[in-house]
Amino acid sequence: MTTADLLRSPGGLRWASERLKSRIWAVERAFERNKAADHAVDDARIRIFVVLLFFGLLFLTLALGATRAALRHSEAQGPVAPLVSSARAELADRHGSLLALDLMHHGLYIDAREVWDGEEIRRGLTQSLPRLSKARLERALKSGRRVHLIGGLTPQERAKVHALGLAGVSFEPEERRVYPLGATAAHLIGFSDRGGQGLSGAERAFNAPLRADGGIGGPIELSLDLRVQSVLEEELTAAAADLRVKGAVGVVTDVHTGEILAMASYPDFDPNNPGAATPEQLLNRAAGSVYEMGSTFKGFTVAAGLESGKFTRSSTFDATQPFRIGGRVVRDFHASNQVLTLDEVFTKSSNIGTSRIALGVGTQRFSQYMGDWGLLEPAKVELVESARPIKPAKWSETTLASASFGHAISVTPLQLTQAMNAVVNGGRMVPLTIRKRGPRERVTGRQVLSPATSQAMLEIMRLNVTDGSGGKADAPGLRVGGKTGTGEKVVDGRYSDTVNVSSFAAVFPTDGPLDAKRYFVLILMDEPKGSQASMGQRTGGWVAAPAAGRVINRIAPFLGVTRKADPAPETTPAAKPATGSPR
Amino acid sequence: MTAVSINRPGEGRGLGKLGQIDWSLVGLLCLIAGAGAVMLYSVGGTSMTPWAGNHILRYTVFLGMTLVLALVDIRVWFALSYPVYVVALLLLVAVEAVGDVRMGAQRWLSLGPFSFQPSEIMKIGIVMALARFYHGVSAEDARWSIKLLIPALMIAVPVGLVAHQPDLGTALLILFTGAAVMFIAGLSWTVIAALGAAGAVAIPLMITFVLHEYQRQRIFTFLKPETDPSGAGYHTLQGKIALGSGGFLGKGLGLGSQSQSDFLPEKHTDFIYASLAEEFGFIGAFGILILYGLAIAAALRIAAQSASHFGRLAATGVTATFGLYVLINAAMIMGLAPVVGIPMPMLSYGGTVMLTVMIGFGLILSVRVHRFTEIGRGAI
Repeated sequence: MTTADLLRSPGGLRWASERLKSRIWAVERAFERNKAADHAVDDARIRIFVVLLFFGLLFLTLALGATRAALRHSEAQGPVAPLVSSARAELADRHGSLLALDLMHHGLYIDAREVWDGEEIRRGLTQSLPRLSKARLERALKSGRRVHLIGGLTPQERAKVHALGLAGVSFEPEERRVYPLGATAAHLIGFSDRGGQGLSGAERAFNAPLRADGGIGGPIELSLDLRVQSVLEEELTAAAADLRVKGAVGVVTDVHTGEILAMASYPDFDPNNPGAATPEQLLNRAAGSVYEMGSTFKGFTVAAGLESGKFTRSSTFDATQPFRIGGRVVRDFHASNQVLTLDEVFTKSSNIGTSRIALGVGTQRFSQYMGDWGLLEPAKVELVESARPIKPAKWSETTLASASFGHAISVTPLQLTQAMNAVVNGGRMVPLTIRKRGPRERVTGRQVLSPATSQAMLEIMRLNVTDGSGGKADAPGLRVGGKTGTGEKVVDGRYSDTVNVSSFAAVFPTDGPLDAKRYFVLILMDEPKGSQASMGQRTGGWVAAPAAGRVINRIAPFLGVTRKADPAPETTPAAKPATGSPR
Repeated sequence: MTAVSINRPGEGRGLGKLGQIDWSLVGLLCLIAGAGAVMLYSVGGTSMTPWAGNHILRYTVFLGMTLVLALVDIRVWFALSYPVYVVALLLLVAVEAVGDVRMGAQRWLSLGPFSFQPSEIMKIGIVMALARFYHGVSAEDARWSIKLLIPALMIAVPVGLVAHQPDLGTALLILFTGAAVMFIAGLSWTVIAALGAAGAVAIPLMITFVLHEYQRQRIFTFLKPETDPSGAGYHTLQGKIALGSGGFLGKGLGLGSQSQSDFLPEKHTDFIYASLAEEFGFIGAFGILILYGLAIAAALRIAAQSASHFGRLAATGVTATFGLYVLINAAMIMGLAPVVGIPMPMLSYGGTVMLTVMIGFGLILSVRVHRFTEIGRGAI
């Protein structure tokens, strides 16, 4: 007789209710509830009983939750294949090379009740599947049920086991996601779990379309250009290893369409085995890490100065004295003790100069520009990894001065990329994308800068490479422009001048009409140590600019940027050393 | 229950008191910790290392400590109440000033090679101090009077400090525990109803207007974890998968695909209950809940039997903390509550919470052993 039968019969019911009554009575007695009158002590006891009821009810809810979970499981079980397919469509780069695809694998099951000869199974399976855990096999043999033994059998492995003809051993098909290129573009492509859910990168960003219709849709083409990506990774990894960095970031975009042609984060991982990667490796630093960028930010400050109409390229700034603002003294890293033009403020990377520009633009307007250029919110891109910036709680004059040279505000490399694209593409704020744009797709973007400012910025950035701190980024005939940056990281509560984030934000080519083909390249080194190649320096001009130059030199042919003979230098070579080691 | 003899139990000295310990409660604790060891053995790759061996060793040591604490006279606990609270409060202030930041929150204090979280001491401290306070307050004042500002402050200050670390989970735990003691002490039902209504109005308003967008998102992701399966919804989803896949009898020890793989996050700490549900199915998940339920009932029974108001309140308060741990953890795994870092006491790996809980049970058992000891209204 089961409990249910017992309850159904009248005698059983009475028995149950008697039991219940006596239990309740016992509980009541335990709490001496019957003695409760008007006495405070008894009131406390009643209240303890209420607490017990409270916990009792909530535990009952949890028990129901556990029951529901168990029931849901027994519904899902049965001879029918899993209701939800784990199949996913393929991912490809912009030229159609496959980046991620499903391959049919098999899971191996063993039903202990159908096993004839345990010894034969032990021998056969351990021989044909050396990676099978012996302990797991033993437990499965003793379980008395059908259990999943090991997954991800390749067709060859399955054929081998099948040929053994073991009783009690069976297979079930399972989809498995394979990334044929290994670690290449791992952070951009991302990975998915065995259930077919995308967990990071494009796999996560396009999870719904990849899973649509059981994954039979054609491949989704990403904006990625594998040729550009491999050059970027190669140069970034070489520089990162040489400089013994904590991390490094590289990004290449088309400034007009916002397409990310390449994105690399160092160290990387193999998406075929994400479980083996450390959190450091899994972290997509381009989208998910924020940095105080340092002088790279000065491009924005100078653009703001021009855009506001308060300054022109020939405006002058007194950098002869350290600049006092609020409780802070702003000094220049390479004190020039001169009166500088706006161009020189940029090429000599003068903190005093940019502070004066920012204050001239004014708190309200400056923060307005920062907002317009997307520096106060996560980069607009499909990646869920895209992180929020850390922005000043309020824009005081001191914060304004700090922000003018890239302190007091931390942004992701992708935010920087997105904003720099707008600065050099004629002034349109175009959202970034990791999906290939169609040939006829109209790219719209809000005008956040005037074309004139954008044109001026291209010229000033070029000037910084020919005459300023970015000299090492130049690539023959490719008219590279850019800005170096050396952010100081906060160590033990104060800015450290030895622990840096060094970067180079480059654009090429800088000449031609505003709507000419143009590309942005960002190289960022997190905590570089000096090396022989960098002459012991850790600054952006020494550790990031050379890598940017090498990347540009190698990718230009893929992107169809033709080389031109460099015009004769306008400045005399003798003038160059004055700008000294870049900062 | 009415047996009043010359030599009341618990008034004896030394080891004679051991007989007065509620051994059934101790047995329940051992069963829960044992289940924890079995699960840790399983998720550790069916091995005593790295977790199961440590778990057993830790529990054995702490159990010895609990039994010693049980023999400590309830009047000693009483006398130590305010000092413990004040020390915990000072340490919480110290952690603000000089604490270590780990995983983005400032919670830890280092003392040479040891480091600890003062918020853990506060979990016991708040219960003892509130019980001590209410011990000297008339039932009328406990119902509703200006004096209640004192316990309200006693709760609010540590809750504020802990929330600032930030450790919202622990802050809420301290808040609820304090509220439980105030309730048991006799807070007016009218006030409770009013507070309940105010909370029902204020919480949605807070969520809408005070919280940041990302905080709102974190709260609501648990309602629809599928919307963010790799981010905030990941834990909840993987936990649910483990919970649901166990079926009625479970997959068997060491055979759970979620708990043996690395998909289930924190499988040996906060999510061990999910591993247990997968490998021992409904029976295991339900059985553990029953063990916890019985332990809570036994502890509340001890509270009800205490002759001293202090004992009643302290035992209930500690039980509330313990019960809330279990409820929040299980609810989180079943996807009924947002994911917060609250472990399953005694089952999860980790010494800090186990130590707190075992000290708490030391207090509860002391209340039991000294249940006939009366304590004067004022001091001792």
